[in-house]
Amino acid sequence: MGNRETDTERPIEAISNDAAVLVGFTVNAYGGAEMRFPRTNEEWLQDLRSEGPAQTRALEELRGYLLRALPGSIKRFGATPEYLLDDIVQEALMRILDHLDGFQGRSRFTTWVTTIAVRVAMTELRKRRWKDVSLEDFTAGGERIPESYVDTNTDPECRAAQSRIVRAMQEILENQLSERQRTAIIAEFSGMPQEEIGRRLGITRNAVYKLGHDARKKLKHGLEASGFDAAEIRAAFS
Amino acid sequence: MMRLNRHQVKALLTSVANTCEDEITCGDCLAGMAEFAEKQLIGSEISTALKRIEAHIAFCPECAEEYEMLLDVVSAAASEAVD
Repeated sequence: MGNRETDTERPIEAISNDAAVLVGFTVNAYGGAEMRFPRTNEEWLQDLRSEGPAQTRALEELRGYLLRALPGSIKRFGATPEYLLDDIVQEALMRILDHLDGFQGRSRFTTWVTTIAVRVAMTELRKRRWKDVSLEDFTAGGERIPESYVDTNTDPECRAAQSRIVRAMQEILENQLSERQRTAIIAEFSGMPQEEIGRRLGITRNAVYKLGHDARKKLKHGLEASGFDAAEIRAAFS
Repeated sequence: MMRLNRHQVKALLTSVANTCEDEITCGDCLAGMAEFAEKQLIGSEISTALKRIEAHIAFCPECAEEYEMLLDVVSAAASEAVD
């Protein structure tokens, strides 16, 4: 361990008891902070990068933590069989080992580990939830007149503005967006997760986000060119 | 408008109005999410870089869902440590 600073030695007087607990500390009877995991960030990295018993122990500790921590939150998204949870944790541990260089040390190592595990878990759950849905379910047919998107509870002036903006947006969607941009943005705002859109288009979630972002920028610029700036759109649809 | 309903069209237009030229991706968001979560949990001020994470979470329903679950998991683990 040498002279490395440990988590228990770091002053955190400014952090309240509750807040300290939330970020991975417990507060002892003397008001000092004690970490719930017996390793510093550097020690986690060192042990996980090593080969042999130290790596095995670190992996087992992380596995135990994830198997305890994940189920309570995952169950909000539907029943998850135990074998699936084991698979999720195993996949998360492999991804963590593969991406140790991506940990920048700006948080607790275990919080970073949790972000990876949560993404793995949610990706798997979304995949199962959306497995029988195709992109065509969202993008084929269904043309409607602009007035059908107007909120009838608003005043006539607002309804007229909504109708003009929707008509302009339809025009841009149909004539200025690429087929992929149109598909990505329609599927995304229909509620399909980006990674599921990506799976069907053969691209990554990052690429789907970029397609959607490019589509939104084109729509924004196109609406501005048609005389509708952001403030006016917000006012009409607030 | 394909098969979008009125509420989805409203969400799309609101999102279009709030679109920035330079937004980070879900991968960038994942890289900074742990730091952002810890700062939020202890009520610490966030940097400009973390404000971009915050903005992405406001735009991206998947990252927002994962962020919510991260807070849930971290908070539950902390409660377990206290009990």
